[in-house]
Amino acid sequence: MITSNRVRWHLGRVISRQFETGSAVRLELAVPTWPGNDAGAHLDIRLTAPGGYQASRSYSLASSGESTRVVLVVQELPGGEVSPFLVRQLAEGEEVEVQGPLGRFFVWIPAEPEQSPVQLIAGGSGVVPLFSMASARERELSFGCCTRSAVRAMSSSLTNWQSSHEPSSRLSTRASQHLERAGHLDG
Amino acid sequence: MTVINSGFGGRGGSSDPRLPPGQTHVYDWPVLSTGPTPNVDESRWSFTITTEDQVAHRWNWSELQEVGVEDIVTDIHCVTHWSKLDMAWRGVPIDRLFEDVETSYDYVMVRSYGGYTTNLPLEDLLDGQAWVATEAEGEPLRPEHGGPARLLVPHLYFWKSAKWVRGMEMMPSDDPGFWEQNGYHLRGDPWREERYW
Repeated sequence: MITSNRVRWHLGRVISRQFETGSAVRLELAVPTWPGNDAGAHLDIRLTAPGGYQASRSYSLASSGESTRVVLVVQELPGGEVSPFLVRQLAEGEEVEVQGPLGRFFVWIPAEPEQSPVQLIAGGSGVVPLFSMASARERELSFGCCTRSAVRAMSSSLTNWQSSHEPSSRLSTRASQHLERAGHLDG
Repeated sequence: MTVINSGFGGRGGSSDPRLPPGQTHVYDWPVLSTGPTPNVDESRWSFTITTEDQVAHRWNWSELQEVGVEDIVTDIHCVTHWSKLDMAWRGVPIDRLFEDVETSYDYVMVRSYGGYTTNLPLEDLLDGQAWVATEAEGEPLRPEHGGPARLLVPHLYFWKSAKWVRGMEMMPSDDPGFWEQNGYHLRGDPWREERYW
């Protein structure tokens, strides 16, 4: 349980970047002062332009535990200000400022003996914090996600998750053509 | 320790002076919620202020309207980094609701239908700083935005402006509400970037 750490700013360096889909990138950051985070936590990224202009956004973490490596999966919002930079431009070796770990409500703390079945449900990029929850749980788990075809359920990460957790866990994905607004937090 | 991200241009590269630090101007009105939207009909809505003497000051929907509404134009700032500028609101001033309330306590726990809570010092609710809002942008407040009535405290981050508000309870100390127990700042002044603790 990592909830007692105070939130502060840290300096992170991009260790690796890998496209999960055509418009979503998996970023692994080395953050030497990161205190670790609970599954489901998020962080703020702050970018500073050469002229001093700053922009901050919150992103869910796909990683958890007491590690100084943190993993994000960022979905590009067309016409957005920050996500296109993170998805298309932020290079390996480049530094960014991050604040966290954030969030003590939507977190998974596997403290009790886990008896009851769990169903995780996500839409689009909402699947990201569930990765960290899924990997924090050893027992049976059912994982459903519903995405637009463009997102494709962060395909490679999900495939990896599935192969390492079967047969005790189930993965169901449903790519719906009807969710015109899926993936955008406005509901 | 500011790091310059040399490839980052930002949108225009300058900020509106009405935007607190770390905020981005949005034109839509995002909705963030931790659970289902309570379905609160005006006919069963009421608002109650409870004091340390267990005196309850209660208004039903029509009684609230009779207290008298004000029109407000204000900016709102969400801790998730978006701000919406020049919003038109209509609501009943909290000052009016406290006219007959006798209390020696300095803090308030705001309670909502659905169980949400948030804490505020009384001095952040008085002197024309807060309202029970019933309309936004010229229309009755929709349920997803807290209708039929939400608290409006625009000088603090918007989680303080509790949706589906149903009452206030006086407190002797500044006990944390829902988000305040979950990592968010006890007061939440956007100009001082009081987001987390």
